[in-house]
Amino acid sequence: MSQAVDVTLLADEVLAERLGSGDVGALEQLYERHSRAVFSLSLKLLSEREAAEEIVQETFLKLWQRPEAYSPDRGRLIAWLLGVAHHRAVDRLRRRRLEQRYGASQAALEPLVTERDPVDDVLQSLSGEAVARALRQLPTAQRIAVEMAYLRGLTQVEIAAALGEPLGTIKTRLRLAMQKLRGSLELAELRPGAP
Amino acid sequence: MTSLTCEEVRELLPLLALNALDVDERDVLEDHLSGCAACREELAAHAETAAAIALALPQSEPSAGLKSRVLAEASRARLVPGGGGAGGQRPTRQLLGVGRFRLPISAAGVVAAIALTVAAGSTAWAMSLRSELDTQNSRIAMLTERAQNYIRVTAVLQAADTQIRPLSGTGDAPEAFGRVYIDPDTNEGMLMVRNLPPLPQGRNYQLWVAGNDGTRESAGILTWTDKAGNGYTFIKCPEKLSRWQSFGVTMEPAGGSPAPTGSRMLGGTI
Repeated sequence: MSQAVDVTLLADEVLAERLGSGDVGALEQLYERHSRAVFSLSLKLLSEREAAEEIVQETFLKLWQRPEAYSPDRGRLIAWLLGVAHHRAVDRLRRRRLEQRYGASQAALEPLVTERDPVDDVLQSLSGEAVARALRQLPTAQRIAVEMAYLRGLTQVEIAAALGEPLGTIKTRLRLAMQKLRGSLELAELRPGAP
Repeated sequence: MTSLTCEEVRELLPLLALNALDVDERDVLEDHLSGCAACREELAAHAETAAAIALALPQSEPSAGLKSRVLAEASRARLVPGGGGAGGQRPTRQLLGVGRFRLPISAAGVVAAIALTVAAGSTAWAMSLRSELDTQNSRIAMLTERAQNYIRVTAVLQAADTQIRPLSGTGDAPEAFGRVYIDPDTNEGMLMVRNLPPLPQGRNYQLWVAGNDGTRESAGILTWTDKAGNGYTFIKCPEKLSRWQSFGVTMEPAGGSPAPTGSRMLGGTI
């Protein structure tokens, strides 16, 4: 392994490969590139800086300890990192809710939905113009379902209960919304490999 | 849920990318994905879409010290037997300082390395296992509730004079059916239901006993069903069973209602 290589010039996939040989410099470079995004998503979900930083640490340590868990043919590294972080943050959120349910009065559970309009929530918070535009193009019900799932960490069952809708309806809304978003974002050439 | 076809899996992949499935559904999909490259590729596309939403969020900086903590932990983790990494052959060689992490090969050095390994190992293991613990704790709490219910129900079924009353689905749940098992001496028993709409979060099924005078009293609350809408729970009939003429089951807010508010989904005579 050459120590003279400038890691700032290397692609994510190359850096990830170098982790396997214990290249701390590669990990540092990946942290520099992606820690903000991982932290921001975790903070949005958990609303606590300390907990969000723990998720960042767990995510990068997972990559460091098991670099083979990421494979470039399964998409970009940043998508993988965000997926790991989301998974861990949502597990924490669901545990919090469960602890509330079993550790406090039933009233502490209610309501799952805040008084604020979730559509406004997501639209006001998103700074990526193409993503915000793609979300605006979705039917309102689909947009709300995506926001409740991805940014509030609710399962499809929880969303159905919160909205008083059949589970099948929520499943369909989420599926259609993701298909449309995928199409819109590909058209906006946000994603590599887009037509 | 048993094994799924690719078509069935692809219906659920957008929900997996959004993390909107519960643990059981996730496990079934991951079983399929481990052996299906085409579905993994499809999931990667949905993961990119989800990531695009995350990347459009307002960006915040973690604290300045986090990077050094991550890198220090990473360096220590690589010294830990089983600390991971490509190849999986590192533990003994790296513990003794062969390869990247050269520690002095001396008795004191080896002792220090072992001490460091133990300390760092505890932290690294704790970090990597925390997420798994969160998931398992959720399962344990749910299963504990079910086990407690099961113990009470078993006691009822052992009573000598237990009577059985069938319940039939109504227009809102035509496929559903159930049974009430009740000991007339104690007025305690069990409600068993099949094929009801699975309970969403925040909702329970409630068993009612009804009299000819129009009185309705709660006889028990079913707090969970499986995905097929099956479940059972302990019940206790207010007053003697002979006081009542019929049973009814409605869906109510979690914790039950003082009087029925939902439509009747199961019913039967006493």
